[in-house]
Amino acid sequence: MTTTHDHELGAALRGLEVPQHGPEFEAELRRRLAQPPRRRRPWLVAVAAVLAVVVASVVVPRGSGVASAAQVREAIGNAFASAGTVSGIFVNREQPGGGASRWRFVLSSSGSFRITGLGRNNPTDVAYDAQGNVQYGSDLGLFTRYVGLAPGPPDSASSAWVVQRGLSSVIAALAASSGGRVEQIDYHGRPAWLLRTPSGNPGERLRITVDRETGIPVHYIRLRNGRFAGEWRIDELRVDAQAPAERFRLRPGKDQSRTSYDLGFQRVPLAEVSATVGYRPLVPGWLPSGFEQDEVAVANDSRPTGDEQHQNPLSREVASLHYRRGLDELTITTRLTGADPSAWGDPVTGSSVRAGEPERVSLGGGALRGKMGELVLDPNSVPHVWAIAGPLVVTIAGDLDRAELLRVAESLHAR
Amino acid sequence: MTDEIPATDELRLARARRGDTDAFAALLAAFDESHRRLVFRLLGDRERMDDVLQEAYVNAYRGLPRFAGRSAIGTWLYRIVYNACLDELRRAGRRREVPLDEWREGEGERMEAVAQRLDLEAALAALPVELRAVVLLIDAEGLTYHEAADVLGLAPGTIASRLNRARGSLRESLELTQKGAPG
Repeated sequence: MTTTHDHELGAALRGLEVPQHGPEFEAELRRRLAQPPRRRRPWLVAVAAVLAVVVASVVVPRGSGVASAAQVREAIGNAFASAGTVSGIFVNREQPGGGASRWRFVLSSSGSFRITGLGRNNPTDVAYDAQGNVQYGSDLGLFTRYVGLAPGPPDSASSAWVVQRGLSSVIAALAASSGGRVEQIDYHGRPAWLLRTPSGNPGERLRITVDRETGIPVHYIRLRNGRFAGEWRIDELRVDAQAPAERFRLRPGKDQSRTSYDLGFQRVPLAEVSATVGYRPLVPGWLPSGFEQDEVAVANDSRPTGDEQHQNPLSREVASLHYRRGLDELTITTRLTGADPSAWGDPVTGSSVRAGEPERVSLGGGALRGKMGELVLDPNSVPHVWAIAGPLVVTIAGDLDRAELLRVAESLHAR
Repeated sequence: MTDEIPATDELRLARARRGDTDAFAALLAAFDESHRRLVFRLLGDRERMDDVLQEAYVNAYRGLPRFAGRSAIGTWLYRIVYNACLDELRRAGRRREVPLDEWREGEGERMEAVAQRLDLEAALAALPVELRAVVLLIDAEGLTYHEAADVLGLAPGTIASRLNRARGSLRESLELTQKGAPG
């Protein structure tokens, strides 16, 4: 096809005003270019993301607005570019004046973790071996072993639940909120940043203290209507301490009863998914820059999604595609609706408390073209879209912003 | 635009790939005005223009190892810049003032009214983003249909039809402006 140019119109268009960059543009660009690129390391998303979100917020100069989602993503990679492990003691307090629970933790860039309760009343010990995809739990006389874990939500995946309880809510809160300010403070004699920001829940605000040297948050306070509503802190923080693989495996004690659960997922090559689940999986035609396929898993039957208030039908013929971009994760799942598609509610959030209503979205491309979906950006849930497309329930959940989630959803096609 | 990278740009590209940020900045300098024009006309706001170009340039720099040279470096950069614009527009929930699917002949009448009372700038702003991008890339920046198709992720035939529609609307405004100009 031969190109024709309208030179007169072109000249007129070029004659329109073209603004110059702002005075800080070049300096800011050079600063960002000089930052080390992301290293692709599969961190535990909850902890990694919260650390990075906070770091991203504090790189904004005092008095400026909150970091954009793009800046947050950039900071996620930068903050952890050189760390292989993060460890310390996680101290959690839910009630004003109440007692605190303490947990020793270590999180590895491989995805493995270990969380050990401290104190007589806290005998829980949990470990996850990412290489073997096995999670172990020890609690007094009971030893449990989980295999066949799903790669990510909404199905049963490994979870550093103790730390997540404190940290993952912060990720979602900061993703769902806007505004906030940063000031420089001293925290136990060390320079730190204090970020004050809304959480995204009505009437709730956060104060997050970040150690400047390591860029890691060390103290978090949640205020509801101006009153204390919970806090955690990290003591004895260490970055890049040695963490041998054996630390992420537990062995049962002599007197412990042993229970094993198989959650039903098996890792398979993408090409083998259709032979297992009986339909062609939906794969994204577009991913945000840097995301790469991490693993693919299938399950013929899996636990129902949802929660106590609204439990979905049994999950059948589930395909779960997991992608990573450094610290960011994305999980795309499909499962059969069964005979009654109307029986399904949001598989990711269930009917848990939400700060707002999900957004109804009309999907305009790919296999979901013409379908209505629900977009959920909520401080109490991982960002996600879900929809029903013919015989399938489709979920897209991960560390993406609104535009990215929708673009991924609209790029899905059968493979 | 040519598919060949000028020797100096080739050198800068090679240096930028090795982590030379000065070389990358120099490489960008040749395209920056065009990028500013495209982004400003798509977003209509100087601050957002800077934000989007920051994001696009950082993404481009990080993506240099994946630039295979199958397209011209300029086309590749336009694609990154345009995608960053779309992301920003979508984030802001106002990707299209006039949905393209609804922008049919009936809308021409509306555009005619626009053209009669407003100048080229306003007529351009009244076009759907997809039409604006096509006419800016081809007529203002000199890309070929194939290059524009590569940037916008469309078939060349679609580019040609969209270009015709965009030109038609802008031409009216341009001619009216010229007729009304003093002297």
